Amino acid sequence: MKKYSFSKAAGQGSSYLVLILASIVFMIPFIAMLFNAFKPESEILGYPPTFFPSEITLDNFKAIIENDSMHLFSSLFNSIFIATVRTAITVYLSALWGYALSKLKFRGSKAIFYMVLSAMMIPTAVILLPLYQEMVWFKLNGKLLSQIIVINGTTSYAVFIMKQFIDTIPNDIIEAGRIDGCSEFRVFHNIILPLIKNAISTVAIIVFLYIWNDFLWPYMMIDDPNKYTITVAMQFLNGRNFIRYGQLMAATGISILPIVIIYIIFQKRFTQGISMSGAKE
Amino acid sequence: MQQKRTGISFLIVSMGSLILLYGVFFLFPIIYGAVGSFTNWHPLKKMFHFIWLDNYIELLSDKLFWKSVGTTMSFTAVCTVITTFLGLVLAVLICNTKRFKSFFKTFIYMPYITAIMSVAIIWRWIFMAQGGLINNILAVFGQQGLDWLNSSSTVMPSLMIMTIWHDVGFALILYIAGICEIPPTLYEAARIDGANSFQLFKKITLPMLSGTTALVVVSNIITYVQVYDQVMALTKGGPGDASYTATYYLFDKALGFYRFGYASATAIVLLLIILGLSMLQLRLSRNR
Repeated sequence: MKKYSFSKAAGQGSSYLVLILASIVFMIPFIAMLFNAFKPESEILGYPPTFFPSEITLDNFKAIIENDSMHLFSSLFNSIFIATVRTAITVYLSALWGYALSKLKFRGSKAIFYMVLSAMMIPTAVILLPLYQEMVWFKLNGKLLSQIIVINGTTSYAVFIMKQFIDTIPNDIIEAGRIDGCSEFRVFHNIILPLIKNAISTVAIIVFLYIWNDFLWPYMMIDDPNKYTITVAMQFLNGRNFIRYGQLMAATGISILPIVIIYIIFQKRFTQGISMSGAKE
Repeated sequence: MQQKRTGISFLIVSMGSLILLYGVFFLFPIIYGAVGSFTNWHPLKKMFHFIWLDNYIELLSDKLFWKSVGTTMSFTAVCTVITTFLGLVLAVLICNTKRFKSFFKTFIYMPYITAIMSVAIIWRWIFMAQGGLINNILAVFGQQGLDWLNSSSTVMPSLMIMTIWHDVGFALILYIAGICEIPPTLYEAARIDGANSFQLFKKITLPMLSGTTALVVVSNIITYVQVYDQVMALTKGGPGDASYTATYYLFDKALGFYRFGYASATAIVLLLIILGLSMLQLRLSRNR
């Protein structure tokens, strides 16, 4: 018995050891980025190499803020704008569609649902080229609106999560509302929406994260540097080798700061949203 | 009567908007892309004439395409196996510990929420031949450094390392959720029968997680067959064509030369490969 608990303690100890090592490995790029962002340029590429900054300077950040030739801040603003608007629209529509597909009985609802789900399996490359052509027809190429009105696999994922949540709402609650004379619109707005707050925040996080990190679609559509999203701006920065490394690291830090802040505030929703996809097996 | 009418108008508004948006931005593009793969489609010159199988013939006889498919397949295989395995091991370890669970989870998951385009800048520095992090660490142990991103033998392993670092958190979270759903009574019963930890893992944990594993593997395959951002950010297909992936090949033709018809044919072939792989995987996991 004693031997068993000893081996168990040893097992716990080695688990911690492995996990601490893993955490360090996964965090080191971020830590190194932070340290480099606060180092003077001479130290980053100097010899012998240092990991910790020997002196802390804000020069890199100052240089970025004073000379926004990288379009860093306008891109941040564009990304926040696009991601916020499209997230709001996606949340509302996916709830609306999820409710109709879950609680209204009509012919073809299953077929529509499967069509929606199939959008998650199709590679984006198949869709993006015709989508580009459509935007040329609609005269939306180069406009930020082209980033907002489209749907994709993430929209379908949102509909899926909403439907899963609404499936668990008892029909009695909806019937009671209908008997009281509520129209379907009022049932949806006044009864359903307040009941699915968890689903709403989960979907909001997933959609926001996707749009924030999406690269190809804005890269295809947007030519004007003033309309770059943050990923496109980072791509052009990455190709410019003459920019100083310290400034690049500071810019990278600024570019991931918003999503890290959102992640730390809404941590639970992030992980819940990801594991929702495993809920239905 | 009133009731019924609002029901119908609600249905028209909700399903009407769904069908409109999915029709315009999903169904029509698929059909247009499939048809376009048989044409010389050029989006800006307004060309869309049928050249039938010419795109497919050119594509299937292009050595670079097959090389890029091979590169993509090995990338997909290595990254899928390693991220899934690491995600499982780390999830089991985290579930076995009592304290700091959420710290470990937060740290390992953090890379997954950041854009590849942003973190690639950090990794460019990590992989640098002179003064890069990896070579500096190697130098401490007296090892010769490598030119990670500029030599054709190390460029794909470098991209794999960055991708695995970025994506382990995804598998981790799914596995943690899966492990939580295993009823503890199963373990207790097996312990009473004298099973050791390894047997518990092999006979209970792994089989109970088969659904999660299938999900992780299929989503990873779908993601990695389409790998693009990493290549675009770090190597642009180089050195030479050592890191050309299929999707990079596709968008090189599409955005570099505006050969949308040809790129669509590439996309259709990719789609068939993805469908084939997903079905193969499902069949394999069912037979088990």
